Amino acid sequence: MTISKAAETEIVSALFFSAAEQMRRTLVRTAFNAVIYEVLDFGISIADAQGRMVAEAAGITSFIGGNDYALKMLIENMDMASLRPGDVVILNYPYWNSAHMSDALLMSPVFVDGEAIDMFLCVRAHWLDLGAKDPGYVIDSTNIHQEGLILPGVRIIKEGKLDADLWKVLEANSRLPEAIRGDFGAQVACLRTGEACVRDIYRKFGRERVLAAIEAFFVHADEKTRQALAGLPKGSWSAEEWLDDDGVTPDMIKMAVDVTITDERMTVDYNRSAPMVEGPINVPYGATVSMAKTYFKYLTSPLTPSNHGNFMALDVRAEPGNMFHAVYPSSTYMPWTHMVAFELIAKALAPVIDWLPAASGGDEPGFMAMGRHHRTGKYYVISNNEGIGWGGTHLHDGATALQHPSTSTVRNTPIEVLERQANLFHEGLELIPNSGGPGKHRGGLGVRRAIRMVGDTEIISMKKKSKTGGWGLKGGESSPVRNHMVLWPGEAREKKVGMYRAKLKKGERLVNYSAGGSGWGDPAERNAAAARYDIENGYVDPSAEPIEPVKVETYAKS
Amino acid sequence: MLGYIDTGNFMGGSMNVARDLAETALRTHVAEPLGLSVEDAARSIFDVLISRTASSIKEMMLERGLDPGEFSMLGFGGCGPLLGPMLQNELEMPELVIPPLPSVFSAWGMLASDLSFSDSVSVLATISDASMAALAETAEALRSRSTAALAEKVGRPIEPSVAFLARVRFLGQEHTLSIPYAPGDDAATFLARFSDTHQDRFGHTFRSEAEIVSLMVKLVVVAEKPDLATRVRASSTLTASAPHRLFDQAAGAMVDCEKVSRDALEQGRAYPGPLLVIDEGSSLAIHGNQTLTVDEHGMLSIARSET
Repeated sequence: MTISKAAETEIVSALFFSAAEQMRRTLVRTAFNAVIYEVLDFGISIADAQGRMVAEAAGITSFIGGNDYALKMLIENMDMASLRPGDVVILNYPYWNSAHMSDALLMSPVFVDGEAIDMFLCVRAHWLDLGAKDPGYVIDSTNIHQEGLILPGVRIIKEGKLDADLWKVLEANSRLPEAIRGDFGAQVACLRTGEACVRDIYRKFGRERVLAAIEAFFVHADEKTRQALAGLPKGSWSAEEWLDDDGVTPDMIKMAVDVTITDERMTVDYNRSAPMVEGPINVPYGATVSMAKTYFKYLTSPLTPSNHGNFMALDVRAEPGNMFHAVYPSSTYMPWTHMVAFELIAKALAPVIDWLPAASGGDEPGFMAMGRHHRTGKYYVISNNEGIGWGGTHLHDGATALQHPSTSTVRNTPIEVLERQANLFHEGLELIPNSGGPGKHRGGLGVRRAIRMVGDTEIISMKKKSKTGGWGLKGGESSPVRNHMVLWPGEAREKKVGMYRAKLKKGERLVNYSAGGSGWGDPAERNAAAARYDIENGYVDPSAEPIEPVKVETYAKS
Repeated sequence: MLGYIDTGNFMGGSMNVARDLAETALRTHVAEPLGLSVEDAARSIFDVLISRTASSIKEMMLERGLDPGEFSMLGFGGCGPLLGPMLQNELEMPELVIPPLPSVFSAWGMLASDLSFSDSVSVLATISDASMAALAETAEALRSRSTAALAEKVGRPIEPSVAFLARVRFLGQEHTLSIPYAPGDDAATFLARFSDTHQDRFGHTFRSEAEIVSLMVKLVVVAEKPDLATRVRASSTLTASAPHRLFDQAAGAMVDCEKVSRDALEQGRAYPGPLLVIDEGSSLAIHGNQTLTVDEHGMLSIARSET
């Protein structure tokens, strides 16, 4: 069929976007692991031969552009000329891969007519086990060699044929070989779907017109981004935030950002943050870049799909050796750092950009569970991301019990799945009254989740912001400090913990708490009907005792 | 603007369409700001619309593990016949079917369709010889239970046709594929059928164990049909045939063609595009690479050739 010239850029752009979406749906359909098919912990992208991102599909929000740096490192460090049609490269080396060791990136080159590489396809997904020192999650490693098998960008499929020897090494290093086999298969299927789509686009338009359209939509995205930048205030602003600890020493860790906006560019500089630390909270530079890209996208073009052009006006600075630019052999397993750090840019800019929201609950206070299933006896690993309250905005109250802003496209794991696949019987999951910061527009509420073990279970409480609160705006109040877990509630050995690993026996209990968001505007100005609605519906309980800040234990094991 | 609607006969002539206002709107808001001709602007809008709609269809079908190339598309509603041929081309689907009175097809279909009744039970069993034996018993219980329930609803004894679908996944997966099950299937046959389907849908499969999540029975009782042999005719006053111009996707240009009243189409005859077929509630634009045929019930079938 003929296609009009005028529509061609738009159509090619939409077709690449759809190709990424088709990759996404293939991955979700076929994955073996709830972290992929329920939580949606993955990132999918299509790039041109220079590694510039052409389209991506929604996985974890802050994986926006996350594959870009990994692909750049592969292009710089691998012999690209040796790649053949049908090859698949695997990478989890964190300093290149923009993520922790469990996120296996598969990359395949697309040779449309077998001559030269036309496009690159990438899919990263969270694998349940690649042989780290502890099952599930590593919260206290002190160097990369405790975090699992290192895959430094090697061909695992050669011209369509799996390298069976290398695969044996992977399976031998995993506590869950069947799960990684399934997820690997799903990622390969995802790449093959993408390859068929890309071939189809080239067949319809021909190489020259495809490349011209790609250039055109890069330029268009860049122009739109610069127009948006022109509408933002100009100057430099700073913010600081604290991480609970590094998992091996008790000190809180300072994270800082300096944001500079000019008519042409935005610079995000993390260099005033702490230097790299011993524990696994150091951030690979690629992850730092994608965290900044995500917030930059929100500031400049929140409503359109992403491509390379959206980020041409952004500079991200973190010198090697800073906690935001981890280098070998530092430990990087805990992506909680860039979740807590995600709102730093907002905190810096909120005083001058009136449509930014107040602080959210500030953390992803979820948990992991591992053990022998009480019915099947098989070993399992499962995770759940807990909802938190979001901050109030100039327009409305903060949303209640949503995933953290940096992972807002991610879902929690349904109770039905947790109860069927793990030893986690749910006694209750409820909103916590008064947990949102008061304001003209109050913060959203956090949640309380009570679980009884129906079999022996190892639990990791996952939190990195359980010692400090959020920040309200324009007179709105901060939400109470609330991200924590209570182990053995009501017993003599009861413990309130932040990031923590504990072994619970059958019949023992835990209660997990998440923080609400902070308020926007003076609480005295709150609309009377809204205040009444809150009380009538239990969001606010005036008779309740004030929520006291919790004092937690961290960096230890029971 | 592109000749896909017979503006002189909109709703069989009972409603007026202002072609000139449409042209002005398109010129002012789209064509002139972009430096395009009005015709180019109009076709570009369709190009984007069709491309995106087709992508969404592909994504939805992929999620259900289905391939558009294995289906016929049914075009109904006021705009189904207008957009259907373009979507058929974009999705490279072999056939498009336009039923009689497409703009009120859903209501018509309610009257004409067979009684179809589904019922299902949870199974949650790993495929094995023992579980397949149990599944045969489950299937028989499900068949008799649902047949009795349907007979009670219909108010008379029935002998429905019976088909079973099992939802199956590899151990560890969450999402399932629906696999036809025949009572008496043994474990090896059934597992192979599932594995082949997985390979077909997703390009890979595993030598892992699989589990049956649920079993669904589908009962179909053939309903008394309205008499389609008479062909449904609107008492139309449309001219049988007249000259027309439309934008032909295959040629990439406005071309001369015929405008034909649907009632004037002859059974069994093939009509090559480009062609505009009109009835009182819709208009059907056939493009140059497409051919329309009419069956004895007045169903239109559109086939396409590669261009």
